[in-house]
Amino acid sequence: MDQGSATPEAIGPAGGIVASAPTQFITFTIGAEEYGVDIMAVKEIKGWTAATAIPKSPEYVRGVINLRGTIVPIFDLRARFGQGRTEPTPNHVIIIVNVAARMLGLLVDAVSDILTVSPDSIRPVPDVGLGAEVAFLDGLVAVDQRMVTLIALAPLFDRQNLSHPSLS
Amino acid sequence: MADLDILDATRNTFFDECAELLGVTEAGLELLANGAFDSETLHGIFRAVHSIKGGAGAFRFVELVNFAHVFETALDALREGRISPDPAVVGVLLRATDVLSDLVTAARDGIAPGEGFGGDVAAALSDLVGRPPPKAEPAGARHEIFADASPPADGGPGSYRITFTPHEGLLRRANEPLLLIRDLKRLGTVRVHADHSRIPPLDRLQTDAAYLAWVLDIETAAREAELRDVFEFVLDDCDLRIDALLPDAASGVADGAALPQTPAPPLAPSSPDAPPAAASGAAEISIGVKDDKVDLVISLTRDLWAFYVEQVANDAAAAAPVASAMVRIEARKTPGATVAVPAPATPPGDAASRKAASAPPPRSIGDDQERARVAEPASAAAAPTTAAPQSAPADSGPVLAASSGSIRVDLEKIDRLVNLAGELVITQAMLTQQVGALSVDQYGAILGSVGQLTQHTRELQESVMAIRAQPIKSVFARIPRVVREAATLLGKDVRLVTSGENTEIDRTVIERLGDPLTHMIRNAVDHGIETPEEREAKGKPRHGTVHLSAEQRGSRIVIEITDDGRGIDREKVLRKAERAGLVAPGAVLSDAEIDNLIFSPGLSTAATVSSISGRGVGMDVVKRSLQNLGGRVSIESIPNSGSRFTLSLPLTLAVVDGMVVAVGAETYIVPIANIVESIRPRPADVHRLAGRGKVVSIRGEYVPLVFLHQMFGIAGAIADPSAGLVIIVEADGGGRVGLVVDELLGQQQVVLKSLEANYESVEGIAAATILGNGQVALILDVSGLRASTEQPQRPLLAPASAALN
Repeated sequence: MDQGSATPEAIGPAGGIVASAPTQFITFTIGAEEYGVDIMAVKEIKGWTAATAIPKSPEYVRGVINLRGTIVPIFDLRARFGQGRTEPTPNHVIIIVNVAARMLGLLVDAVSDILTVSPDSIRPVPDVGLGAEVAFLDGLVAVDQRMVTLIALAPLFDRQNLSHPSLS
Repeated sequence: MADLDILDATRNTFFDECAELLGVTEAGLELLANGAFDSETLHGIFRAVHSIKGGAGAFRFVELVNFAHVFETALDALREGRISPDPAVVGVLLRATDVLSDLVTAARDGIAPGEGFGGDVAAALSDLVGRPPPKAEPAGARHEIFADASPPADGGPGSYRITFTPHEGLLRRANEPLLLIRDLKRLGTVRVHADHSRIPPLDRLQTDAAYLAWVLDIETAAREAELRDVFEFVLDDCDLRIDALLPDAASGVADGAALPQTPAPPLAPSSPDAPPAAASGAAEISIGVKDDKVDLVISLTRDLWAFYVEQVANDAAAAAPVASAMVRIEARKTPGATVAVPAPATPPGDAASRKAASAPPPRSIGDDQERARVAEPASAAAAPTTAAPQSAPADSGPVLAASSGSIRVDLEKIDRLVNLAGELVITQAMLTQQVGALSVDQYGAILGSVGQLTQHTRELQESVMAIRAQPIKSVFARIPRVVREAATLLGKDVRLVTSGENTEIDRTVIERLGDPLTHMIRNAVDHGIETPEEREAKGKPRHGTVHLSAEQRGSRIVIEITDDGRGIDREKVLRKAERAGLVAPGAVLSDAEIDNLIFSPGLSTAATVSSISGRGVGMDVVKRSLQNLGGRVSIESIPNSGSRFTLSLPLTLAVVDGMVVAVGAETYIVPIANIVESIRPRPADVHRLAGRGKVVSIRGEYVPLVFLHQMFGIAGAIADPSAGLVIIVEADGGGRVGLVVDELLGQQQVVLKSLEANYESVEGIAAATILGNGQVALILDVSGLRASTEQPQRPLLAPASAALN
């Protein structure tokens, strides 16, 4: 069982990949772009349900939902990456993830795949003028003809960045 | 590993209990200090110190045992009337309590107290008792601290044979012979001979009964009475005989093995065995819970279950196992008794009679405790049918396990219960909402049942919350020491008067109340109370008084700290505030506004920074930490006659009665406690204030308006207050605002859910909750909203608390 070695030890404290064991990612799409998050962080995947708006929150905070008694904030990843707000339909998907002892939901267009990646095949993010945003990405992976961007959840949802992003 | 865990858990329990026992000691000594001398108090203090010593001995906290022993000796002398509780004596005893408390902390944290720590107090205690008295106090001989002070009075070591035959119920009462024997070993050299003749055949063996008996031959410097002391807590549960042995007779029992000739080994060498300080980290915390609270929860749970059986599983086949399970529960409670089973058919709704029916045997949670207590009537042979004698043995000894009528429950377990009850309330609310649309004609039965369910659920939830509530005593108990230390350091004479210690408040609040309260008390002593000379010059009594009180007012607990000191020096506060840039120079502020400036960051009013206050923790921090608890603080002050700080805290952090309001398409909850009234103002009553938004006039008072839709950016809401509604709310520190909303949707009890746990705090929002439809709604923070209407320098309206006198 190769996947079995994708234990939490393989994930660095910041969510970066530090060991050489293959890691699994859940991949999803936002528009034409494909992203991946570490499968170990994913708690569940559910359809879009209306969220209660939080006053004075940034555009990408869609509000909070009730997940079996827990109040979970929903982040619109499209808006988070500066591509405008998602117009959610029942077909949109919320990926519930655990980040640094907190539970939050990522609003994405659709979940596509589970990807097993060995660390050597993860390419660094090239400097294309992303600036601070690079810190929120773990790297790029080529799958067939597609490119999957791996998201570093911990820095992206650090308490400092939660609603006051250093990201433009 | 498992053993270690058990050991850790036991240690934690010990420290939890130490805290309570220290509180008892402290409170008792305060009574003595105030001249309320009665033997019951004294016995209480003695038992508390003795229990600490006993527990500490089991864990080999040598310093703690030694000191507690000296302490106990002095208390014993007091108890026997050999010394009298004059102020000097009580003063020493209070200092001894402080040292004892420090030693407990040191033991808990695994820190070795400094060399000779508390030695001066120990010496003072010894002095109280007098020079080594002729024969009364050789007890110290077994402790190093006394080793040279009081040599064994009776001369050389003696030998005794102790015949220790536990009654069958000894183990059930949480006693452990092994620990007793270990205690004994500490007094001298012991030869142990176990008598297993009472062990029955396997088929009749009860695993929790004590069958073994022991013959213990001890060679010791201790007196017979001290040997008996070891068994003090089990005297009612065993047959004990202590006979003096002739020196040669002692070795006679030994099967040939030569007795070691060394006298009683001192305690110290065993200390390396002391368990490592593993427990200090994420310790499990348990709290004492009164039986009646537990009973109420159990009986309500049973009601709920019975109700379910009746309503849902409404056939005999399904009800039978439940009924029989209840018979078993009841039967266990009163062995041998014929029990009237409160069958599931008990008419619901008649809560009082049900409670009465289940009241007599106050027990349960956890089988062990259950059995431990139930065993008592069994040993009282002749009373198989009465539950009454159970209450009697409760005060037979200050056993570590618990004071009378309470059991210890892990806080974690309680929290799980609290959470479940919260979920139940939400589920019930959802159900209520879903059936709300049904027609009464057709579905009357269902609607009726849901109504009853609502009532049961609410009762259950309240009683579960009551378990979390603890007397505020545990916080108040720290305060006398704080006052004492601060007063001593500052050369002031301060009396502390407390009242309302038994007021109950949520455990979480209690835990987090200690620091702010301590700080405020220090402040009162430091800044409020004058020096004796100063007071005399003002014609006040030399001693100042700080009054600390707690009481429940509605759904909140109000704590007041009143001192009869100099009051707030408004001129100085104002000057400082101007210098700190908090107030524009030349601004005219009301007295109350100036007083409340002390809660601003960066304003320390002490003329000189003393070591008592002014450690960088200001009243602003106090205010913030209280706000985090959902509490508020306000001050009233009269120059030269004193200040009063009023803390208002929620009873519980888990539930709030709320008004559901609509603003556009959004729904918010306004805590009922804050609501004064709801009005629809006439257009003429709404005024625009230049640069300050709008106000509404109500009976001559102008109240600023908060337009929620503006503040929260909600589209499609009613913008005209005279078309919508204005809810007049009052912040806890006083001060009113009018919240402009579209309409009121109804009143509801809501379970508070943290927004910060997964997100972050939001200005103007206190918490979140889940409504009956499963949607999240946000609970408004009225005081936060009010603050947002204020200009930093100049509140629009003076706070309501401005009216003094």
